[in-house]
Amino acid sequence: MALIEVKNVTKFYNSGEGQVTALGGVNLTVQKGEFLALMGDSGSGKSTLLSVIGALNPPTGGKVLIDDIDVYDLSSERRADFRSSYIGFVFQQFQLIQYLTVVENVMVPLAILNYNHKEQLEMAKKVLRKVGLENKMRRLPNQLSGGEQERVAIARAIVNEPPIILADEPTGSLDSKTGEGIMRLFQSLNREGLTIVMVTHNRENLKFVKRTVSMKDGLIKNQEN
Amino acid sequence: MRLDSIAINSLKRRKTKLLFMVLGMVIAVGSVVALHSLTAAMNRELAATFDEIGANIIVKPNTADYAVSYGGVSIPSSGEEALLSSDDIIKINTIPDRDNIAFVAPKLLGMVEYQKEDVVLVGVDFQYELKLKKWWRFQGEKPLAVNHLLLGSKVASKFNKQPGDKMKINDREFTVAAVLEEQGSDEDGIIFAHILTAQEVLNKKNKVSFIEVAAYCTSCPIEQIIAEIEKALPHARVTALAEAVQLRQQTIDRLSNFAYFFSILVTLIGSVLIMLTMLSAVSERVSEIGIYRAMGYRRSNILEIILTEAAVIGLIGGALGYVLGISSSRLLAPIVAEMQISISWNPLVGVTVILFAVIIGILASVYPAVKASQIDPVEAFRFI
Repeated sequence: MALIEVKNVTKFYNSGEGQVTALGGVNLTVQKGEFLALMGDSGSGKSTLLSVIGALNPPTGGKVLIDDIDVYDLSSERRADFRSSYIGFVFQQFQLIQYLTVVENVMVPLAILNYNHKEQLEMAKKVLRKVGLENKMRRLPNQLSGGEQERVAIARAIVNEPPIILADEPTGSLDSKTGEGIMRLFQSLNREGLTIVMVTHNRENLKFVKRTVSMKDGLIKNQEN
Repeated sequence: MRLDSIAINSLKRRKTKLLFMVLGMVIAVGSVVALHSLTAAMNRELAATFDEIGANIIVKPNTADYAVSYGGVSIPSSGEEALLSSDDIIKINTIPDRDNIAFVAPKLLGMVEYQKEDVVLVGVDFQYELKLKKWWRFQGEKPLAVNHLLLGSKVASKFNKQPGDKMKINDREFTVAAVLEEQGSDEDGIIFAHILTAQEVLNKKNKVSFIEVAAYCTSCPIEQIIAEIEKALPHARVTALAEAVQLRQQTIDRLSNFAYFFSILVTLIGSVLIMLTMLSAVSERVSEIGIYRAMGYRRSNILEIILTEAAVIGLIGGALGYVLGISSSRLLAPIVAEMQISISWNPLVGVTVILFAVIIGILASVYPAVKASQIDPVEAFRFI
């Protein structure tokens, strides 16, 4: 069953040098339970495509359907609600909130949902246990290693149990050994049923994914299983 | 965790900015509180000590054709003299604003003959007259009894009288209780007697020539009290004396106006300071706000976080500002006001000040909060 359908999506930006084509008409279908890697050089449009799929970046043309919902047909605020329920993001450079502790960072997506503090804490502890950080919950992000921060970012992305995880270069700032640990974590989350779309430069990561989509100049060049 | 926890944690971890904004708020609130406390306390103090300032209202009968005068009131040279009555004193003491009247000092003026010389006799209520004339210095004992006389210096020397001497006026014997030091005014040529005795001696029972009133109202203009006396005594002419109390009131009014102007200015400066600091904080937090938005935070959630931060700044700044304002006004009061005034802690005023600071903090942060809420969630990503 297709969970994500990208239909003829275009995205143009205006720059000082005229119009730049970030996406030139992309069609992509992601099945439920897939683990997909988006590969490509810098400027190929893979991060733009990820943000478009993530209901963050309205395309210039085309449609994005997630669970049969046309996400850009929703109002900006309804789209925020949609992101809260459907998508967990893992950003480049971890993007943790520096003034919140590990457990507070993980609880951030829950603060706008109808959970009391005790429930939030239980949910956060559960996912921190899953990523192996239950003993570092009271630390601040700058007291953690890069790999640990990435794990916190993953815990934050999955705490409210969204069906989709979108990850932008999740191992980009990590050494190869730590990066491999993170990829194994993603693999295990995928085996539990999560659909994951990941942007990566690193070919080493491809052995963990089920499908790879290569992009060039805003278009999909080929797909490998 | 709730959104307010995020706001509070954000403030706790950005201590320099918090300190800067709270300091701005403390200085603004402190200045406003100090100025208003000082002016309000000076006003209260003035009301409490107005009996020391003297009479500020004079009530006279409607008369014409005067020959002898004292205190702006004259004794007619001929014809029927218009007088007030003792009942008028009661009427003045029963006006709606009677609580703002410190005391009423009646006077009866008349001419008597002593050793074949005409002398002005003024009947007064010594108890209140001595309060009114704080500057009077005299030799002898304080005149209080009905047969006591207080002689002006010229009268005493003219008739060679000393305290303790006897004087017989209109067949009635008096004791000279005291002799006034030279005043350089009409008072030097006057014999002061108790008003009840003066009424008998002058054969003007229950009559009063004029009445001085010491009144002060912190919440109403003196004109209101004058109007009330005029209403109670339609046959009298009531006028305000341009004396110390009014000059003092004008000074306080000016200070009060300055306090309002200064408060508005300080509040505006404080608001702009908070707004600019908040705007700078928002521009530093674009990526962070983008992350919140990417995770499904609505614009209203972002607004709530920023405005909660502003409210907390207002709360802390307001509370500390109130403490600073009251403490500094207590220290400054004797220097600035040149009077012993008491400025006390008032929980109601404190709560109002804090509430005011919270509202100012929130209003000053509305624009930065709206800007923050409009941050594109795409900012959380790095593109192409």
